[in-house]
Amino acid sequence: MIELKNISKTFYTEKGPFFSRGKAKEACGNINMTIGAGEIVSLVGESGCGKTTLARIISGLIPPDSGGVFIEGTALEKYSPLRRASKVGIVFQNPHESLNPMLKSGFIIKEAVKNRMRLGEKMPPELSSVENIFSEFSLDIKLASSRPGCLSGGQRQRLAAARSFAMFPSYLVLDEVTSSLDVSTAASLIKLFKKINARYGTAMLFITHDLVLAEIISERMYVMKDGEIVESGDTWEVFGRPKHPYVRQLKSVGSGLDI
Amino acid sequence: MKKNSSGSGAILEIKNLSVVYRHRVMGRVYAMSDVSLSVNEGEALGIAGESGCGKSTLLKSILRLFNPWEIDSVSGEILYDGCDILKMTPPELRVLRRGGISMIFQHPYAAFNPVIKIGRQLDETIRLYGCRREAHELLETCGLDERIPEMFPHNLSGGQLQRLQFAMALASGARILLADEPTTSLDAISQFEILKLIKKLVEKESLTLLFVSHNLSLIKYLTSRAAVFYGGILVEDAPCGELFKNPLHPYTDALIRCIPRPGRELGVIPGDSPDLSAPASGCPFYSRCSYAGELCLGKVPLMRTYHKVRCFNAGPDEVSEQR
Repeated sequence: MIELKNISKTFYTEKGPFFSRGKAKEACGNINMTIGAGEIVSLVGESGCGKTTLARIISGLIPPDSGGVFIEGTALEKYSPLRRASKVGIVFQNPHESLNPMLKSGFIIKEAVKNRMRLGEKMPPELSSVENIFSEFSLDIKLASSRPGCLSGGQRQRLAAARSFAMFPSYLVLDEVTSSLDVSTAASLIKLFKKINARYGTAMLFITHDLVLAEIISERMYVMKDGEIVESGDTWEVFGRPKHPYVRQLKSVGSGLDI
Repeated sequence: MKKNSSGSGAILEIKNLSVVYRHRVMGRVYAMSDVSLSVNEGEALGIAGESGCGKSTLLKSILRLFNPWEIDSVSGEILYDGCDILKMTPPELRVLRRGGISMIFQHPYAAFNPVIKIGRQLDETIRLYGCRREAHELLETCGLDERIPEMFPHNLSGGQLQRLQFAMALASGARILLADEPTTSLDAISQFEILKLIKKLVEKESLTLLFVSHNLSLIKYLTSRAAVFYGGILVEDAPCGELFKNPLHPYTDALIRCIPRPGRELGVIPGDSPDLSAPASGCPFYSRCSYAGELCLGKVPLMRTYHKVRCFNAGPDEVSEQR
């Protein structure tokens, strides 16, 4: 179980005179959250509400100002970077920027598998080779010798997910993975993540701005606004009977566009 | 410019448009083949399809926004008020872009000059295009407040800049708006705000709208007719009510199922989008279609006349049967 206890993070937007720090903007304020083993939790919020900051804090890319992230009771900063990547994986929003354009896609996956071996942790046999990981993420093995520039957006995002998953983490943070993709590509990616979750029991934090998408994928959801969690609970409860006006607004937008 | 004397009501008519790009690695890319489409004055038309299906190519060819070196060949006709855009000279094109057709781009931050204040950019458009309305009036129409002209593009949010693009289009006095996925980079609430704005503008200013999106639910909200593209060809073209109630092309059906809806299983289209550098002779959707038969492998059927669709499984043409 991942536990987030009183996480706060403040960014300083502009530089003040001389060496003073400029305007402060609180990205996350006092956030408490739990992600249980094997469950899919979603985090919904508009742009600029602190979703991505929280995703980075959970995966240990940036430290919080106060509070802590605990994985199975151990603080996240106690882990070495490699060990941390084998606990929490992250898939970024923009697949065009998150992959190294100079490396062949087979090598990107191989590196992760090698690191996993170096840690000496057990791996299910179906994830032990690059070929198997490629087929697991429905990527053609022929693509292993091509660089990310030759791949389509959907293929790149699958590759980025495969790279995180090749470390076989118990938790995967998906930061707006579908927002830069087509509806149809997004749908197949969501199906893929659901399959991975069912087969390997990987817990996922699905971050999105679409309440309807969150309703489809997750059992539990958190709704965030201006750096604070305004509503949380089981999906059917939050989606069916929203209490906070912001969630109601999100829901009405979703139903206004229903076909 | 000549005025359309036939009186068909079509402000924009695309006839057998084919576009072939020249690519350094892939060679020739057949981005669009044999597309015919007509848009009536004051109509809102939605254009749907996955990325790489030719949506953006269509908009680019309407405004001739190609780089000459990336084009291998363009054939067909695009008639605007009876004049062929593909044969226009540069001065004529300038007139077209000035008062005729205006484009709303997908990335709001890429559409403005980052080092010039908004007010100056807007004034320049108004002065150049001889707009009769004042800047603050345009801003008010698009739901922006008065302090905006004093700001730089980086001070504004994506939603505000997108509204500003519409104000710019109004300033240029456009009759046709080409919106190229204007809401994809926005979140759910500001997306809905922009959609409401577009709907208001189209009704109030009696504009003609071509709205490109990969999400059919936006198209249903905004437009009265939808054209679905796949692999560079127009596969279905029908009024929205008809299209959503009774999608005849298997691809349209699959695309509608892919839209996330509460309490419904998400549909998936298996496989990847087709490689346009080596087009097949038959239907481009053949390899992903669950209804595909032997006929589909050989050729793509012609467009039906009433509920326009190019599929062998759609059944016979109702109009030709009546005859």
